[in-house]
Order: sequence, then structure tokens, then C-alpha cells
Amino acid sequence: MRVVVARSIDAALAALASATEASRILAGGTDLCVEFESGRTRPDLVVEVGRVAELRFVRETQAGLEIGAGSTCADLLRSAPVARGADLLALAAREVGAVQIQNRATLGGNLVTASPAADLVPALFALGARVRLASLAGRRELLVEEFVTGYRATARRPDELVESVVIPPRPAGEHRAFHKVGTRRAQSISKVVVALALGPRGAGARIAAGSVAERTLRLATLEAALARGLARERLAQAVAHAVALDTRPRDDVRSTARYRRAVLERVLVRVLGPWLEPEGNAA
Amino acid sequence: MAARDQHGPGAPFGAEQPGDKRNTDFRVVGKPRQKVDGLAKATGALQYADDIALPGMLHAKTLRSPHAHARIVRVDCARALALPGVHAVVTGAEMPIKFGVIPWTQDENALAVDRVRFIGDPVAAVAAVDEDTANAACRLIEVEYELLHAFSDPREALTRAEPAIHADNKHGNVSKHVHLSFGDVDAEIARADVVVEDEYEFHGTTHAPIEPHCAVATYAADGLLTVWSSTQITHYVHRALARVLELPPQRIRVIQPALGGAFGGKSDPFSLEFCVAKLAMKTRRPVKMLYTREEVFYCHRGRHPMQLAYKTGATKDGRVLGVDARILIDGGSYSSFGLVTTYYAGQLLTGPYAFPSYRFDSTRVFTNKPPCGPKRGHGSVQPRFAFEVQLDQVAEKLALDPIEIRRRNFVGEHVTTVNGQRITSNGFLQCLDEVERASGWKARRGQLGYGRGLGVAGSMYISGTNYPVYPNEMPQAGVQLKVDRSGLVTVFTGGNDIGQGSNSVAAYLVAEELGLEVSDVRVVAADTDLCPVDLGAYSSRVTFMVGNATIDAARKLRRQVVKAVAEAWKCAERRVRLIEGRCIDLEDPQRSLPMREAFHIAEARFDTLGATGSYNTPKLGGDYRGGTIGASPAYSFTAHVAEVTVDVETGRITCDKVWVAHDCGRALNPMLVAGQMEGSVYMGLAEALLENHEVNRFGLHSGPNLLDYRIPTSVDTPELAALIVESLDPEGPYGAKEAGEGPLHPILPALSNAVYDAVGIRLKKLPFTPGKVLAALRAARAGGTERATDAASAHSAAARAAKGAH
Amino acid sequence: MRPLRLTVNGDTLETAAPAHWTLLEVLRYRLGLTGSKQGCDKGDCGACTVLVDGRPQLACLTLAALAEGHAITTIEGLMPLHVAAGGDGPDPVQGAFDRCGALQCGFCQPGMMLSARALLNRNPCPTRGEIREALSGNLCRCTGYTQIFEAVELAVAESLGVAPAPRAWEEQRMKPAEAQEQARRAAAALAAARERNDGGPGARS
Repeated sequence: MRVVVARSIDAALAALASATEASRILAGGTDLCVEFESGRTRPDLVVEVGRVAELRFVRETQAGLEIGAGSTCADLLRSAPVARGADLLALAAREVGAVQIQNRATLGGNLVTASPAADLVPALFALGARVRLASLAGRRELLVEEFVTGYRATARRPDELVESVVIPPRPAGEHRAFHKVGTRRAQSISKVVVALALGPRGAGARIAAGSVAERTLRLATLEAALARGLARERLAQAVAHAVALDTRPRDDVRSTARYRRAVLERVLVRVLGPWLEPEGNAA
Repeated sequence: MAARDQHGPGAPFGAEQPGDKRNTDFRVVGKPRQKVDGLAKATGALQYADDIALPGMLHAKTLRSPHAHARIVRVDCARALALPGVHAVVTGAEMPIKFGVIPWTQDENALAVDRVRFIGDPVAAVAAVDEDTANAACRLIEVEYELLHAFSDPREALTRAEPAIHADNKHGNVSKHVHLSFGDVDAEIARADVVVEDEYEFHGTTHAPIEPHCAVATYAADGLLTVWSSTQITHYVHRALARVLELPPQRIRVIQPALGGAFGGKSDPFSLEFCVAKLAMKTRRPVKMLYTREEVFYCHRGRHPMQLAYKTGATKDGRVLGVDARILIDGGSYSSFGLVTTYYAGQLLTGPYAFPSYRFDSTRVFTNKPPCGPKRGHGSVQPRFAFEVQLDQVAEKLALDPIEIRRRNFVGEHVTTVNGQRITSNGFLQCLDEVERASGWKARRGQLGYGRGLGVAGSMYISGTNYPVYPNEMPQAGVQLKVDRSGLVTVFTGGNDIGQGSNSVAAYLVAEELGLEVSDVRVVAADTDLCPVDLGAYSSRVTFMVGNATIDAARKLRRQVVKAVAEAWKCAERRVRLIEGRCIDLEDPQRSLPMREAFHIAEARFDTLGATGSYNTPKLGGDYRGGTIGASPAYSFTAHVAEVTVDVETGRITCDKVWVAHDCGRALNPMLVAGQMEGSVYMGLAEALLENHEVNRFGLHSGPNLLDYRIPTSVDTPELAALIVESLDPEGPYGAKEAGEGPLHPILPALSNAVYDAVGIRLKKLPFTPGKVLAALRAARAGGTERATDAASAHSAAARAAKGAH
Repeated sequence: MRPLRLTVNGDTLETAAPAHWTLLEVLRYRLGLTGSKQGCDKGDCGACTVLVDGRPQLACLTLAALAEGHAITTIEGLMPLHVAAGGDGPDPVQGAFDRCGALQCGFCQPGMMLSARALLNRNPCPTRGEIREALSGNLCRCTGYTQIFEAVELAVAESLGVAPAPRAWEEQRMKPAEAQEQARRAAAALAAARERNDGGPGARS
């Protein structure tokens, strides 16, 4: 195992130029160190980016809020711009592990590990975040849904580094909510996690759910129903339909498929209900 | 004369004042005090097993079975031995002698000899320069297996004898069957006004101490084997090592360093102790083995899954007439303490309520899963759950208040139970009063609105038992005191301090008896070379038995000092009193000596100063086979009220607060007693709401880590109100009884009863997962509430269990 | 082997360890600082919690090399640091844990006390809820946490110069009026102190 300690983005990219599928980037180490211990991972190359100061920032730009991939969950919790522009991300960061993990685990790490039970990823989906990637070959930007491609799989090439994510400015009147049903109240893995944003009368809804499929996903059927102007009375039915169609939960040690579906439905009804108009008022 | 004979009126010190429950004569006991090792723990100075590092020490790892049940055809270690850095490999063939805590059921090998019985069963061990190398070597060991049918369902193991998990077991795959009957149960139930019959289920949980098991061994040039182990029973490890390694016991020294939690999970001898010993003997180098958390889950010895069928008959005013119980116990792959478990499952239910008649049929079977064993509240938590829920069902039928029905059935003080157990002190009624008062029960039960509720339950537990595990007439507990000319008294005790504070209790008692500051007493414990034998930290025996032995020794020493000083002062012995670090003349306040000088006078008068003390139980128990198992010199009593909120949308039960009243006899240190009570409730609560030691039908553990085995965090734990009740016991040390296990029992049924109060569903199968709650709520909406309970199968598995075993 | 230069409890120490070793392994098996414990196969129990630049982190999930250049405090450092800062004996958190019965087996407590110390440095007057939250990454299997909360509250009360609210088990043994009065005083002192600290360095971040 070759270890390169990068102190700058350029150094990290240089090191990653020779990376293979078996190489890993180590930021906070909260996922990777567990894999070292279990022997699941013996990478050929580890590029440490935990001390790359350039990756740890939050700035408000024209394109929206840009957050460095090296920002820790604790950084997200403490950042006033995040609280303003990406509140869902702060709510999600509070749900990651407990204080000690929040002090190390990074935004980029959560995204690149791409666990279906990730807490930050659904928030990024609901916020419509874009992921900025860099390599010696150049830079590119992907919508977060395009970035997360499957079970612990992303569109990142081995030579690429996630530099930052960009959260578009919050549209006026947008409702947002984050809700996690976990195995316990801290140090908890989600059974179901929901993050959503929707405009007045359900316009432009982005509804993301975690732990109900092999990857974080958006409930497109429900979003479409909302876009058509869903009445409050029809919400439960629409939610049930969407959950049946869009999710693929399974039984595991944390919960059962049946429970995940049932609770996802109830959480969505509970969260969305107050924002919908009753029949007759709906568009 | 043993210490227990000297209490009560006429006792030389600390005599009871009638009506004075908080005897103010005590200088040391009865007050909150720091532990003798508290600051060493607080500063990180205390050494636990894995903190030991010896020069030249090798690190060992274990190769474990990937199969739930298989015959071992061949083990080839050649490639592992050839790996640079590997010093030795050991396999089962080198340690073929079986061991086990219970002499009649020794069925474990240090490493599998010809068969593996669960996924995780140890097969071989490697000692190498470091753990990475040892792990790599384990992967190079070739094992050829021939797969056998694996049992996962205890009902199958009950009826199918082949393949036998233990070929030499006489009863197929039945590990133990007990059938005992007291009084005419059928007649009593036949004349009952109300009968409730139902089925209950306990799922299986494990101890999960934060410290994983660890052992270190050295084998000296002169042939002395020393083993440091994170065990809670040094004495049994000592015996088992001698047996398996075929060494004379006097060539073995076993030491328990500071222990990071046990809860029963470190009671058996474990593979790693034999492996480090054998590897140290082979390499002549120190060897350490530290289990991973995953391995701790395979070691298990956790609480047995049980299927329980209960029938209770009662009169219309709520008096229980008879209880009929059938219990099927899933023992996992080895016997461990299973013989005792099978008895405890029935024997410990006959208090705090009087049963005019009682019958139980309890069957433990082997399955190809990690072995079950003793966990805090050994054998009796599951039946207690079933019965206390059933008692609420009876109360409901009779429209009786659940606390009232418990009062009406109170067994009483100084009585003998239907199964021949002698109950002495009993503060159960006061426990009920306390939780009723503190929880505001009368005003609040049934009044909190839909979704919130209160539930009550009671229990009883032993303070040690007179069944000494291996038959012998020697004391169960021994203590030795040594006096230094500096004034320091050292206590040598074989008792195992597993965090409960037994070393501290020993120091408090010596300080009390000899009038010393606690800081003038040091405790050396759990080292077989230095300390007299104690049977170890299990069955809640330590405070009672080691406590009595300590008082016994201290009083002998006190008599010597008093006699010597009285002679020197030429006064009557009754005038000489040891108090607050001084020896004083009660009739001449001017005359006193520092204790150090009193010790000097005594040493000059007699000899090198010291004393031994011991405790053994009086003859106890019913006069029938198994009548001594569960017979205790004193029983503790507990009542809980739990308050819950049920989220009917997610099915999640939140326990908001638990009031726990526990009769521990005299609280020698109320702060430590409260800590035991709170810790017990927390652990039991988690078993009901969060934890599940689940092994799938292939024998694979569902989540052997502390993320998926969900022990509660600080934000999952409810507010806990510890209410100490002190019914001074005539035989306990200053009247003390146990506090470490009893207070766990009632929380599981109290939660179920509270959920019923909250939303009208009767949860009878543990754990109370959100999914089960939602299902029960759905069923409740579909049908009547009574039928909404977990679907009761037409045929009782436990009933079939009993039939199969006959 | 990777050479390492770590600043632990105020000392700069040099050692070397395999590249994948974590800070916990280096502390325990290279530097002999065994107060930090390992209770799980990584990241789940919190027993290895140390302070890195004053913040609680899991030493078992921190690659040793990433700890270079940061100030690491382990349980062994608390008392010496307290004494060096003019204090006497153990850190008030350690003393309070000892006096409240919070140390049963003691195995999880080094990590727990460091989490508590970090909390009090950041927020000298935490509420019970804030204490629960701050300690939620440290699993304890013995205590049911209650005496741990009481210990942190004792340390807080002593820093404010008042008696803490009666502990759960004490209340039953006191006259109800007395217990209420003591609880009221403790709550008032805490509220006043929080008022004073509002927006200051003690405010919860």
C-alpha cells in the first residue's frame, strides 16, 4: 500500500493520476479505517486529503452555495451560510454518528462512499446539488443524481477528486424537510431517511429517500403527482403509489422492507400534508 | 462461628436499633462513597487485560468455522507455519480434553477437535509477531469440512436427534429437561374463577461489555504458567486450565486484571485462555489474544431465546391459585451453564407472589448457533416477562388495578415458597408503594391519553445460591486479612470485581469493623496465587458471600486487637472500641491510641497479625432433585413502573421514565446500589426495545458489531429514578442483599404493560420492534383489541416441546 | 513503516508504525498510553475518544499520520494538564465521575470523560439535554448513563459554586421541600450562568 499525503489539491490530483479502481482517497477516514480493520480493503494507493485546507470551505457564489468536499459534518453544523442556504445539509449532518464522527466525517466522503443509508446524500438530492470533480485532465460538474450511480458506486473516475458541491440558490417560497427514522437516536443507521424540497403548490418538488433501495433515489412518481397539483385528500394514495413504484427496499438487520415502505409512506404524508391545498383549492 | 450468626441483637457491633432502618452507628457503610479504584479508573491508570504488554510478547489470532455444523476432515497448518513471523499454531488435537463449568455437562473443546457446531466456533490459533501476521497465517490454514445438517429452529432440534450436535449426549439434541410440580395445579386451576392461557417469546440478547475478551499468558522457565484473563470467575478458569492442559493446578496462576464489564458474558472459560496458555508453552514467549468485537458476539453466552406457554388460574378477587408453565429454551451449540438455566427458568418464579400450586416443564435444546449462557438475571428474565404480562391479563379480566393484584398475591416475609425456597426479608410491598407513589400511578394511569401509558411489574432474584457448581463442602467465599505495621490492612479476596465494586465493598466492611479509614485498607483480588478461593462474580453472590466472609475475618482480627489492648490497658475488653482510626477506652476519653499502635500491641502480644474468614450457605432448598438450584440465602425484590409514549405512525416505543424500587437489604453504599439499579433497567429496557442477538437460518449472525447490535446511547436512555428499599436481611452482611441483577427483570413486562395502557395492544413477543407495533396496531384496528395481540398460534410450540421431551 | 511525529499531552513524540495504523494503535501499542480503549472493531463505541485540538474524535478512525501537527489529549493528560494550569489533583470532570459513581467497570469512561471535558470547554453550563447529546457517541454498558450525567452536572455546579440538584437516588432520602429547594437553587444558578454566557465563548456552537 502506497500512501501519499497531499497538502494541496494539485498534489492530490498528481497522486491520483496513477490511481486505479483499487485506489482510495482518505479524507476523514471514518469509512476507510473500518475497511482497513476488517481487511475488506487493502488498496494499492491511498491518497490522504484530510489536511488539504483548500477543500474545507463554505462560500456564497453567484451559482449558489459552494461547499468544499473536505468540510466535516461539524463544519456544516457550525456554518451560518449552510444554515441559510442548505439547511437540509445541516439537519442531515446532525444525524451522522455522534459528535466524534461529526468532527471527522466529510461531505465528500459521504458522497463518494455513496452508501444507500447515507444521511447527507438525500439532502444533496433534495437541494439539487451539483458535484464538482477535478483531475489533471480537467474539471467537470455533475448533478448529484448523476454522480451517485448505484450501491456504493459513483461516476467518479479513479483519477478524479470531488472538490466541492454547489447548492443552487433557494427559490422563494420553497418548503424543505428532513426526517430520519433510525435504528436508535444516535450512532444510528437509517431505516428510512427522507429529504425534500418543494415550491408553492408542489411545483419543482425534489423528494429524496435513503435506505429504500440500493442507492439514494428520488421519488419521481410522487414528484410528478405533486407537479400536477396534488390535493391533500389524495396525498396518501399518491404516496402509496409512488412508494410502491419507485422504491426497492429489502429486509436486513436494520429493518424490513415492509416496515421501510410503511414508514416512508407515513413520513411523507406527515411531512407533505400541511403544505398541500385541500381539494377544490388545488390547481 | 460464621459472621452470619452474629447479627441482630447481641451482635458485638452494629446492632440494630428497633425501627432504625438507617442505623446511624455505622461510620462507613450506608453512605455514598467513592470506589477504592475510582480515581485509577478516572485517570486511565488502571490496567485491563489488553493494557498488558510484556517483553517479547507474541500476538495470537483464532481461525473460526465458516460453517454452522460440519465434521472436520483435515486441518493442515503447514503453510501457516511457514509464513515468516509465525511462531506456533495450535489445533484442537493438541487439547482434546473437554471442559465446561458444570461438571456433568463438559462438552466444549478449547479448539474444535472433530466437529464445528456454529459459525464462529474456534478451530485453530496462531501466535505471531503481530496481529496482521497472525491473521494472515490463519488464512493459510487449510481446513476440510464435511457439512452436516445445521439446526436453527429449536423445535426441530427437539424432535430430530440426528445428526446429534453432541454425539455423546444421551438425549439426542435435548440439552436438559426439567419437570417439577408442586401442589395440585390441575385441581387448583380447575376451581379458579378466571384462567388466562397465553404464549410469550423471548428472542435472545447478549451482554456486549465494552471490553472485548482478552488473555495473556507466560510460561516461565520453571514451568509456572501465568494467565491474565478478562474473566469474572478466576477459580473456574484455573480449574479448567489445569484440566485441559493436564497441568498440576499449583503450577498455574490465574489473575484477573481490571475488567471492562462482564454481565455474565465472561463467566465461562473461553477458548482464548487455553490458546494463549498452550501457545506460550509451545513458544516459551508471552502470548496475548484480544478478541475482535465480532468474535465477542460469537463467544456470546447471552440470554437464551425462549418460547413460553403460561396458564394462570386465579380467584375472582385476584388471588393466584396455580401456574402452569411450559418453556422451550434454545441453548445454542454448547451446554455452558445450561443445566442451571433450565432449572432457573422455573425455580425462580415462586416469589414475590404466593403460588399455592405450580408446575413447570422446561426443556433446553442444542442448535447450531453461538452458545447461550448466563446473562444478568440468568434464566429468570424470560419467564418473569411472561408471567408479569400474564398477571396483568388476569388483572384486566378482573378489572383489578395491576399494582393491587400484585399486593394481594404477596408471598410474605420469612416464609417458604411452594417449591421449598426459604424467603427471609422481603420488602416487595414497600417497593410497590414506592413506585406507585413516585410515578403518580393512581392519578395518572389510564389518564395520559391515547399513545401514552404506565405499566408495572415485579420480580425476585437470588443473592447467590447454595449450589456450588461443583460439589464440595468447602466455603463458597474466603477472605484473608493481613496487617502491616504501617497501619495498613490488606484484604485478599478471590472475589472478582467486574465493575460492580466488590473490592470497594470489601474495603468498606473492613474499615467499618476495624474503625479504619477506607483509604487505610487495600484490596488484592482475583489472583489465585495470592487470594483464597471465591467462586466468582455470578448469581449476585459477591456482596452477600464475600461480604460475610470479610466481616468474619475482620471480626476475628478485631477480637485480637481488642484483647491485646485491653490487656495492655488492664481493662475489660468491652471498654475497648476501634473507631475512626483510633482505639479508645469507652470509659476514659483521655485514653486512646492510633490504630497503628494498637496493631503493634496486638502483634507483640499474639503473632504476625492476620485473619481468615469464610462464608458458606446454610442448608437450603427443597428436598428433591434440583431443589438446591435457585435456593438462595436471601432474595432481593423489585418493582418497576415504566412510562411510555407510542408513536402510532412509526411504531416506535419511547420509554420516557422508569421508576425502579429495589429491596437490596441494607444499601452498603447507596450510590453504588443506585448505579446497579439504573444499569439494570437500562440493560433490560434495551432488550425489550432495541437489541436482538439474531442468527439467521444459515447460522449467520445478523450484525456482529455495536452499530447493528443496538445498545442504547445516552439519548436512547430514559430518565431513571432509583428508589432504594432496605428490608434488612437477617443473614446478609449488615443486612445487605443483592442489587446487580434483580432490578433488571421487571422492565421488560412493565414496558409491555405500559404499551397496553397506552394503545391497547398486548405485546407478548420480544423485542418490541416498530414493525411489530405497527402490525399489532393494524390488527387491533381490524378486529377487537383482545384479538389484536401478536397472533397466537393454535398449537403451542412450548407444549410440543414438553411432549417431545418426555 | 511510517515515521510519525505526534504531539500528545504537550509532548512531541517520535515513533513509527505501519501506514494503515490508526492513532489508537499508535497511542496504545507504540507510546504505551493505554488509557484510550478499544471496544469495537472501529467507530461504534467511542471508548477511544481523544481530543484533537480540543475536539473529541475517535482515535480508532483517525489514521495516525493525519494526527500529525495536531494537539492530542488523552485521558493520561487530563490530570497533568489540570495541575500545570494551577489546579490540584485530577481534572474536575475526573473527580466528579469518581464521586458520582459514574465509574463502574470504567472501560468506556476515559473516552466519556474526554467528551465531557470537550463539552465543558465549549459550553461550561450545559443542560441535561446538551450533556446527553454531547455524550451520545460514547457507549456505556454499565451505568445507564444517569450517574454520568450527574457527574457532569456536579462538575458544572461546583464550577458555579452551588450544590448540584439532588441525584435521583438522593431525592428519595431527603425531605421533599429540601430536595426541591436544592434543585431550584441549582437550576437558578445554571440559568443565570447560561444567561451570562449567552453569545459568549460558552455558547453552544
